[in-house]
Amino acid sequence: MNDEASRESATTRRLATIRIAVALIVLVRTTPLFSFFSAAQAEGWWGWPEGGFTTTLGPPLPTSLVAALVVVRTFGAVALLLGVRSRASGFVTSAAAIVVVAQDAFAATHTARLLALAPALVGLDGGCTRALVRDRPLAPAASLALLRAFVASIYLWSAIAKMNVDWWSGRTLQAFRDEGLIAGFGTPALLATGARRSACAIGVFVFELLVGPALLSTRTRRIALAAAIAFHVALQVLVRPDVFGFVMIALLPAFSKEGRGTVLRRDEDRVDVR
Amino acid sequence: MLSRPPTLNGMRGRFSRTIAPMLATVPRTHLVLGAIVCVLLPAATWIDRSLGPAWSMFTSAASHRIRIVATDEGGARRTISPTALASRLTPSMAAVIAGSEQWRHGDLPRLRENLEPFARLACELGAPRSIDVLLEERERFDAPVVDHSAHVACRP
Repeated sequence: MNDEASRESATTRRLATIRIAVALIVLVRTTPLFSFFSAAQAEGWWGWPEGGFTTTLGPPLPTSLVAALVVVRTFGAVALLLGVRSRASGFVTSAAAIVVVAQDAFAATHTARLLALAPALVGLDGGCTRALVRDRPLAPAASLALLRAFVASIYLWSAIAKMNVDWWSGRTLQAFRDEGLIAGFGTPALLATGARRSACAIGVFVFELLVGPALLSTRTRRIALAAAIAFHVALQVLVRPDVFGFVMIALLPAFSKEGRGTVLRRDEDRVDVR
Repeated sequence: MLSRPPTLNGMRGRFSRTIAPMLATVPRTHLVLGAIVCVLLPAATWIDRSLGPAWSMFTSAASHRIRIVATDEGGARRTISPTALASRLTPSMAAVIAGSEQWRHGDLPRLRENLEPFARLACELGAPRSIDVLLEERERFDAPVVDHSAHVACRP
């Protein structure tokens, strides 16, 4: 019992750490706080309706409602960060963020989507400890597994999107470079020739195809975790994909320790989940 | 001694002995959330490709070009640069639309379904009688160009 309890508390502590990290990134990126980190991307309140034509995902909402949802999203992120009813605040943050993102299809970048989805996932059992108002545990091991599945699915879908000749030939990377969208440190040399672009493209594709299963497997998890962190650090330097890499790094601790967790049923039957 | 290849019944038995009991203990919330964020939402973006498939960062090979032609009173025609409309767009859309009089790399989420309201923005530039917008898109670098057009009368 003590051993199982300590395993479960280790799991909830890890989930709390991930919750705090993700909430902090969401809060910084979606508010004027981001101006302190990147003047080039200073946007004020992300998604604040400032007028102008755009296309929407779903019906366009009144400006006042969108502004209110931006406020709700912000308060939700603060509550998630502090651990105030994290399960509810995570869902509220995600729901508000999704509706705000949908109001400008051109602003629905992959970073925006990740920032919108992550709070609900990290809030599920991320507020059982290290929280101002704690949640009762729902199923910490299952919540950890869900985060692992989510991260692995991102790598898999990203690899699927790269299953085409345009990517493997390096032509897509060249187009982004020519548009100035890939201009980080080292990219001029890294993408200077067709052979280098193709090698980079194929290398990224193979990595993303393999890293998900490697993270999910206990045998390869440790090295895959180190490789994944290095991958995202490198991308942040080379490609500067907004804060996407930081969110992924914040989610990777879901894989940080091997071991068994328990899933508690309400009738207190315990089933080991590896 | 060689192991026997897996049979369908064998796989079914293994599923019922190991995976099914595991899934039975996972709360429904987690299963539903997992299905939504890991499978359904990404799959939906592959169906509606204009949004850019899920998690396909820096992989789009799509390109687009926009031509806007205004017809003034008397029938004179003049071109309007999409860049001229940037001040009437949200910053996110302006960043993509600006410079689209030449072929530009990138997706235009949902613009082809909203060409008429987009064209109507150009009615504010020089009081034309009507606006014609031609949106040319290529899904991949060597894919055929697909045209979408809209005509709006600026005055009733």
